[in-house]
Amino acid sequence: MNTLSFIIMTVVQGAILGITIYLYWKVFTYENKNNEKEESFSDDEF
Amino acid sequence: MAQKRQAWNSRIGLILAMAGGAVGLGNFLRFPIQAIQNGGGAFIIPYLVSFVLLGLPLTMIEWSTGKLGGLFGHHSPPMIMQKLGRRVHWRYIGSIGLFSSIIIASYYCFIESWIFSYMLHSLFGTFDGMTELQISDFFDRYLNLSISVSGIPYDTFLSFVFCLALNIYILSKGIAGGIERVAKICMPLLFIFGIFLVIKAFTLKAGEDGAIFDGTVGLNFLWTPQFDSLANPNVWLAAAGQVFFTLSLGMGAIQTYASYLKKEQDIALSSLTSAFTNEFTEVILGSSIIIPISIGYFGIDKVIELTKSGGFGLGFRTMPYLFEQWGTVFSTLAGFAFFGLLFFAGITSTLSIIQPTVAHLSKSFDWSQKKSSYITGSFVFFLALPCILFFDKGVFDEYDYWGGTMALFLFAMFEAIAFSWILGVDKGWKLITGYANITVPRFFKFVLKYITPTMLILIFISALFKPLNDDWSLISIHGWELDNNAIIAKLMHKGMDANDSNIIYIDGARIYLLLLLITIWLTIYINIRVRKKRVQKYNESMMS
Repeated sequence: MNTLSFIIMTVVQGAILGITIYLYWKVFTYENKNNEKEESFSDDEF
Repeated sequence: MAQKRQAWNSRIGLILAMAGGAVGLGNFLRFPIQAIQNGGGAFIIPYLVSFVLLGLPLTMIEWSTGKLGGLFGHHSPPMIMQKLGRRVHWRYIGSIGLFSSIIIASYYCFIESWIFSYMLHSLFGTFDGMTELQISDFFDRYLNLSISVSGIPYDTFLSFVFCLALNIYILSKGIAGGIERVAKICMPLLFIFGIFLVIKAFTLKAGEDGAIFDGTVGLNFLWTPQFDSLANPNVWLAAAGQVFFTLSLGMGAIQTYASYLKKEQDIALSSLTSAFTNEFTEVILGSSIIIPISIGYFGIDKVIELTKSGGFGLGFRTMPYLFEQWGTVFSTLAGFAFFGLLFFAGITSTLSIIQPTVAHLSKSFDWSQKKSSYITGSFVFFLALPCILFFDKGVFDEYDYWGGTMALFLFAMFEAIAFSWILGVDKGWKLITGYANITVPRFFKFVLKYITPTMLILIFISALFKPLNDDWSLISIHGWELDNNAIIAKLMHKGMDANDSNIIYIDGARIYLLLLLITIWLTIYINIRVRKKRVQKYNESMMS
């Protein structure tokens, strides 16, 4: 495999894998927490 | 009788169901072929740009508008679009989403049945000892309804009926009890099967099991950038198209699933996670299976030739033969894993595509989820019949062109316009960022307002008047010759011989699709009348 192809493949796939893992980590962090924020929008606005 | 509001049991179930809806055959069969045909490693640049400017914004639009609709008791694209557009005619515009989803469901379910059959044939060793030609011929014989490849009469048709019944049974169990439960089982299995095949592809060695090249030769070919392709507008259109199809946008599926969210549930983090799960499956798993394996056995030139007929040829005519080279045990495992992962990808997608119609009927006629599922199943069955019986007469292509391509872009265009310019991007932004568990970059607000709707309008106009061979230098104020695939040319059967025997089947399919659209409009009309009468009755009773 030539170097440029290898670099492109690794960077692109690595970035997608990294972001996906980060997002799942965030999901599991929030999974069991109640959303305690104040009301973000009211139904009347729509 | 009013139906109890359905909801998702868990966030992870929702994300997997959404991702399952998006992950489909396109991830494994379409993406690698598109990448090869459009500049290899360089294709990823327009692909990622389209993902950010078109894919992510539209995903957020569909999630947020779906949630908005659900808060007011609306779960189907027509009602959600009316909520968004604030006028009753938007409900008819929303019917495009239902139209596309039910048409796609009809032929997608048929393809799902091929995969199911191939999974069983791989498991029971049907392909053992067959030559490359025999396996390729097997696919043609399988699609010929008058021939039985298993000894069971009408096996192709029975397989379709089984798959449709399975989908309908799951849908009848509802959002949490059916769709969510299946996604939680199918998606992890899909990843396990995918990772197993990726490892096999990466470790393929020249000289072992009949391979003539290492698996990395295929990866090198796939990822070698041809930067000159970036100047070609067709490459950018192909990338935008791939992003669009892979995320299951423009068919109301995401909207409908999101309509079962509760008000305080986040959509920013969940929508990004489901979109990136799809990208993981496509760019990491999808690109690392069929291309490295097929190039390892056939070499680059033959694979380029094979990809000209699209991903189906490579998937169904070639892969079973290649797995056979790995010995009895591994060929069974690999065949089962490959068609198994396609089947799991297929079934989770079909469920998401059928649910908008189920929700529409349930809400319009106050039917239960079970009753609506069975009736929708009957619709899908009769809609699929011409596609199955006249598959080789151009009916399949007609369904795919009008329902699976044009209606998608049209619906997405209206969604983006309604969200950004009618509801207003400020309100829309509140929906996206309200109760969010992650900060969405403000740059997306600008993209949502200007870039995404403009891109979709341009794509639609270019599809209407596409010049011959996509050569945009032909455009002139004196007119230009249309490409055979331009919408207007397609309507006029351009490029077909007037005596072509398929024209009657193609026109028949168009009439059938038109009748479907009229039926959807009729259900909307009846629903409007019934609700008006109810309100009138209620007001009269209050007055008296």
